[in-house]
Amino acid sequence: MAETLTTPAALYARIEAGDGPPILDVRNRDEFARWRIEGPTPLDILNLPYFDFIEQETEALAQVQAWIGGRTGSLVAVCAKGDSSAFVAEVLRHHDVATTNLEGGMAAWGMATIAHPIPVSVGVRAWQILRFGRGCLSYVVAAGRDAVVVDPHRAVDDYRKVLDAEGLILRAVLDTHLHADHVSGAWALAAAAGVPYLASAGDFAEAAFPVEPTPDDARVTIGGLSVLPLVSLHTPGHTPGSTSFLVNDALLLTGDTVFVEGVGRPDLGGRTAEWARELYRTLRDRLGGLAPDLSVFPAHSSGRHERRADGTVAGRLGTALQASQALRLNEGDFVRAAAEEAGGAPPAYATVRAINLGRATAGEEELVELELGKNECALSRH
Amino acid sequence: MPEPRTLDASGLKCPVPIVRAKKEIDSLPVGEVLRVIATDPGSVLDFQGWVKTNPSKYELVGQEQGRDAQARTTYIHLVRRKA
Repeated sequence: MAETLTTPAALYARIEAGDGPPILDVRNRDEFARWRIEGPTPLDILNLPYFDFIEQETEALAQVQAWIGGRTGSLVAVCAKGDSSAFVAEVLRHHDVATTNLEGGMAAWGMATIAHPIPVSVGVRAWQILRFGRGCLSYVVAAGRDAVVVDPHRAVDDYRKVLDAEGLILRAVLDTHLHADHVSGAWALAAAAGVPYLASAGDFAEAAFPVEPTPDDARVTIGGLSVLPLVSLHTPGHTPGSTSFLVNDALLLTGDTVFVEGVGRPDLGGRTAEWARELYRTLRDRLGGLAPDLSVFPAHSSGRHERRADGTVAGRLGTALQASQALRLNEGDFVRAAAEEAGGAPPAYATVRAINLGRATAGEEELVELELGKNECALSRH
Repeated sequence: MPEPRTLDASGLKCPVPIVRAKKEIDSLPVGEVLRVIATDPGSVLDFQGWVKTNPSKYELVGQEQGRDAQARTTYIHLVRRKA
């Protein structure tokens, strides 16, 4: 008998290998328009809501059969959480249309990760953890057996798996900034392992849990050890406390300050002029003073085209800075341009910030709703 | 006006609220309203979408948000059978 269930990881692997199955997304049209499964090349994807199969099964079935045509192999049905698609998959199988259900639906797709090793020079090892459905990036960085995790999201077991598989010991958890688009796993991971949580005082002054402030322009020392060649640089602008971490003078973990193709939005906190001025100075004076050939490893990817052949999302600092207006405009014009581009922050962001400071809690269902869709942290026009 | 027939779909995941709502409303006389109580936030757009697939038969006369005895947020959908 053919498999009736598939996992996000298995579906992702097929899509990446260019062997993506036809995807039947049975969510309503608004949810589909907002966020869906994507691949390196356009996917064969049909949106036909599950209630069409309840209200007009014959027509819906005919539409699927016309779409599939003479193709063999199983299509994959997808919905928000995996239950409506299981219902549709059963209807289709009953009519001899081979259908596999994506277990856990888009909620599971948005949580799943893949770890790619980052090539670094001798003595340091690093992995980029890509949450492929949403484009969120986080990192495990290690020297010897000592490791830190940077910008972890709430599926903390994904980091434990990498640490265990590599025989690493977690020494600290770091955040580049107070995240607003996704729920952080930093405190959960740090507290469970009994290790320090390091983040900027600028963003975490109101945290309900103990946060060790990151130094500025200094080596991060962990429990008195200085095991990692990891330098903390304050790079405010996307948030007042945004920090970048320079690893081994080669890799720059920039959070949401610099992306592969541009810079972070300074308008998500309601103080656009002030934050844009900070961002300008960060880009010009602080990051502009570093070697342009440094590799940039951000906290978000804005698309499949940013991937390198080894699977990692990475850019070149000089190229990313050139793509921003900071190197072309004077400060006043940069701040004015940012004010003109300022848009609204998604309403969920305030709640996510409160959760990430330990000042609010939410159940699993609400967390899924809060994190729905892609991140919106990048400045759309550079 | 009499109280509308109520279908409690609290705690049920999609597609069950709509499957049950369809069964229930098809048993009501034409013109009557079915009140569906759901706890799944996704039901808001789904009820709008479902009603649109058969506009000659159903009409969404209202959607409200409430809170039940267990302090859960509820989503109440009022659907009228037109034909």
